[in-house]
Amino acid sequence: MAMLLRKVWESVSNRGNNSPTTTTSSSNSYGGGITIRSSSSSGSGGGGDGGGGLGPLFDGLPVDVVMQIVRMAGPREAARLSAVSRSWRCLISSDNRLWIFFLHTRQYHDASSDSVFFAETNLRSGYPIQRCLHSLKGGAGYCKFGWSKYPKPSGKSATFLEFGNIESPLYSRLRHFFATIYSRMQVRPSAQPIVLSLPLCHYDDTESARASRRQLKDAILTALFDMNVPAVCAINQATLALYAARRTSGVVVNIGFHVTSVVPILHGKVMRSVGVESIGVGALKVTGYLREQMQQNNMNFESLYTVRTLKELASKPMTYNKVMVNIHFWEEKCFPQLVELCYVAADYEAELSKETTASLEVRGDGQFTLSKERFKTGEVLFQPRLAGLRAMGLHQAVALCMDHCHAAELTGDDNWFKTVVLSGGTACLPGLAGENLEVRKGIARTSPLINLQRNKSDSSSLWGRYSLVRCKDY
Amino acid sequence: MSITTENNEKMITLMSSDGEEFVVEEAVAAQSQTIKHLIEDGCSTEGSIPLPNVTGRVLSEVIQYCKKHSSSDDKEEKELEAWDAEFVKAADDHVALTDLMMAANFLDIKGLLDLVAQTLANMITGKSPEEVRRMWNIKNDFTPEEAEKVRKENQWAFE
Repeated sequence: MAMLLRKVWESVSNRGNNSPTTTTSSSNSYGGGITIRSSSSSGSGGGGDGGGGLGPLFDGLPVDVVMQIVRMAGPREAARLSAVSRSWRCLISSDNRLWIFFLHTRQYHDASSDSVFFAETNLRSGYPIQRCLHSLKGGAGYCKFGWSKYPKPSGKSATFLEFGNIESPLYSRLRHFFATIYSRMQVRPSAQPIVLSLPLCHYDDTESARASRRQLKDAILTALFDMNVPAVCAINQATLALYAARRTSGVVVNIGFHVTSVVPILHGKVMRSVGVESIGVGALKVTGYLREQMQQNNMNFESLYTVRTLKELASKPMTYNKVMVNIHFWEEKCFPQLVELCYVAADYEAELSKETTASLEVRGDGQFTLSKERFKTGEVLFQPRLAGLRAMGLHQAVALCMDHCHAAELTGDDNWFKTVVLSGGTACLPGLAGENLEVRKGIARTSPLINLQRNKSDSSSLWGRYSLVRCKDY
Repeated sequence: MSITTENNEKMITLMSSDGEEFVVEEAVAAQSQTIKHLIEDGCSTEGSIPLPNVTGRVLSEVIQYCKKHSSSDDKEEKELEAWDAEFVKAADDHVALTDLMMAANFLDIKGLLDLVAQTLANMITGKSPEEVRRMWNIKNDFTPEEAEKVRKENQWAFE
């Protein structure tokens, strides 16, 4: 089974590259030795395949003959059939071969990633292995970990604060980090395989970047295997975001903690040869810019609580790391509400002349009233110079990436990179997706976007993907 | 017992589960891999080949199919396809397609098996679970909660 699942996983990630060599066209290999009960004697209950649940027509048929029908009907019909009765459901969702067949059959690939999604879900059933998971989030921010069987991560830790920069492949740090995760999950490392997401770093296609990536991966694997972890599955963070949007090809815009990256992915593989764009503006800068603006307008705020919050942030004698983490805490606390306050303007210049004031109550911190900050904050992503940064705007990076994709001519047409998936908490800013990337920022001119998706709840949707891939590491 | 016809074609006798006998050319019978192997093993030299799993009614349909397909090797594919479509339509009036499929499976006639499976698959294409239940007389044994859960799991297929 282990081999089988691995094969399937490979087929998912290499889809489109491999030739359809494994098309098992009929079930004849199983046909020979099966005795046939005539349909008139159906319901006599023999065979133990679920009694009379398939209906009078099918109860007498050997299972593999019934599966032949399902195979020919295709994944979508198969999924619907599973809602017909218990026996059908049992038959369809427990048959790994069926879904492997769908995965391997070329004609279903283009249909939708839904079939892949469903096949993955169903391949999983019957192997309820608990997994310890964690994510190496964006470097200095947070690491989330938990069991893959739960919809949400069960814990997170401020990685930078506790462990330093774990993106630098320091064996002792990583070892300490993973040991802590395992102890917090209260399991022995030797008992639980782990699925982890590789951070988006060392983007380039150069020899040194490749070496850095390899070094980090090796360090992680060495650290884990030295702890007797039975299996490790490492997936690129951007790829996960794409999968969470149910795509296997597209451009992922990940607004990280420090850095925003634009990652082209074809059939689940990061196209480093095409080029990953990265901008030095991340969630930290966005939040920092908001704070800066609020400080500038300090006098406008009547609530002392706000000033206090900000003053606390500024005046406490903390190390750089600690300040950062604290800002992040602050961001976590306020951001859900601030998201509603802040937005990205469709027309920045026109918005400047408008009156846009909104306020909200932050528990314990009193009233925040924002006006122009509401859209100026998000604008930093598009115009980094507002915050005094010399960097490319998000839209320019996406357009550049698409130009590269187009120039690379990897496939017959240009459709694969026309899906743009936004991920990261900051990507939830209203107005960030939609017109801003499409019309105003001029991407539409070079290559009209067909799909623009964002993952609203970044962490939990990514988490869902973890749950899906968790059995593929065997 | 094997009879030889005027064009020197060896004849095979097949016996259905209800005792009906069918005499067919060897080339026709050999469309079935199962029978072909039996012939190769020398089982057909004496008496008829008993097919305990196939009734006479189903067998006559199967033989019809085999006759057509053994005689039209070089003919146009299109014509054969049209004939196949007519065949399943007509067969549906006489025997259950599932019985036909079962026989095709037992006799190991790949073409017929695929044909019937495809026909059945086409019948469910685009149908809701309720419609499939009605069409094939399947009892819905899900509890409302289960039904909801299954539907949720497979939401994508209903969109």
